[in-house]
Amino acid sequence: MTSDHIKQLYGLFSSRVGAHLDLGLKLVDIEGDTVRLLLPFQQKHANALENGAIHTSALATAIDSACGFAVMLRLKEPTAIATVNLRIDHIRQPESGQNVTVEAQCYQQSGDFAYVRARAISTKTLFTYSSAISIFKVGTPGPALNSAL
Amino acid sequence: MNTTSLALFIEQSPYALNYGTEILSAEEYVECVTQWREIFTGNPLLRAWHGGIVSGVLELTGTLAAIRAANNQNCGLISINTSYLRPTSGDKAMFSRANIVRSGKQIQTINAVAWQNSLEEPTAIASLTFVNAR
Repeated sequence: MTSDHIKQLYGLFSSRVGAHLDLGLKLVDIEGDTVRLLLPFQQKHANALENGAIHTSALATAIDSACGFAVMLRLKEPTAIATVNLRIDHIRQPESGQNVTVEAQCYQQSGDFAYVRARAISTKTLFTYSSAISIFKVGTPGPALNSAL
Repeated sequence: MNTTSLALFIEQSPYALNYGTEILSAEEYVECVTQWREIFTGNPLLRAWHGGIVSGVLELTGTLAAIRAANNQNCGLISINTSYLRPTSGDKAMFSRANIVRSGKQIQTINAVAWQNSLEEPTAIASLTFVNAR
């Protein structure tokens, strides 16, 4: 799919994906095979009542979404996909009250499986907070995504 | 550490409050239930839980188990590996349970499982590594 398809898909899905709405997740840009999302800081996703930072569980949701869109970007046509495995290493906690950028790249597709690497980084310093790898099944049962486009 | 003291951790953690997760047991293992909410939607065509939310709830359950094993000491997650076994269906609650594999002086290794219909039909499992008092 082209980057325009992904932007269109993101636009259509964003209003219906409760998790994206709750996180305020925004598609920032698509550069080559890399998808970038912005995860804005919100107190409800903080790890503490005072001076909190974005919690690692919110990072997990943003990373899973970014990985999914990176897989879509690699596919020739809209296809139902599902996360099979997601491993995240949390290297450093984000700074208090700061937004986070999540970027993902689908680096390989083999048969019905797509392989993705992703990271959550500081929007200011580009320091890596979390590093992730994931595997997606391509062509899972369920409604085809082209019905949404 | 009992259920009440772990519930206090949830009350003081905005992200955990947002999940609305309730602790069912904190004896042999930590077991929780999280009721379905629209904000958990991942795929609107399938009306399923978002994989990241499933991972997040497993992380929360694992964190409670880690805190309990470390006698209320803070624990920081350094790695989580989640395998998705079945779709976690919307409109249904998700149960989660975490067991300590090993609780060391510095590192805690915890396994967690999520299910909806029965524990024999898990929807996701996770292996979590925590460091004490990070």
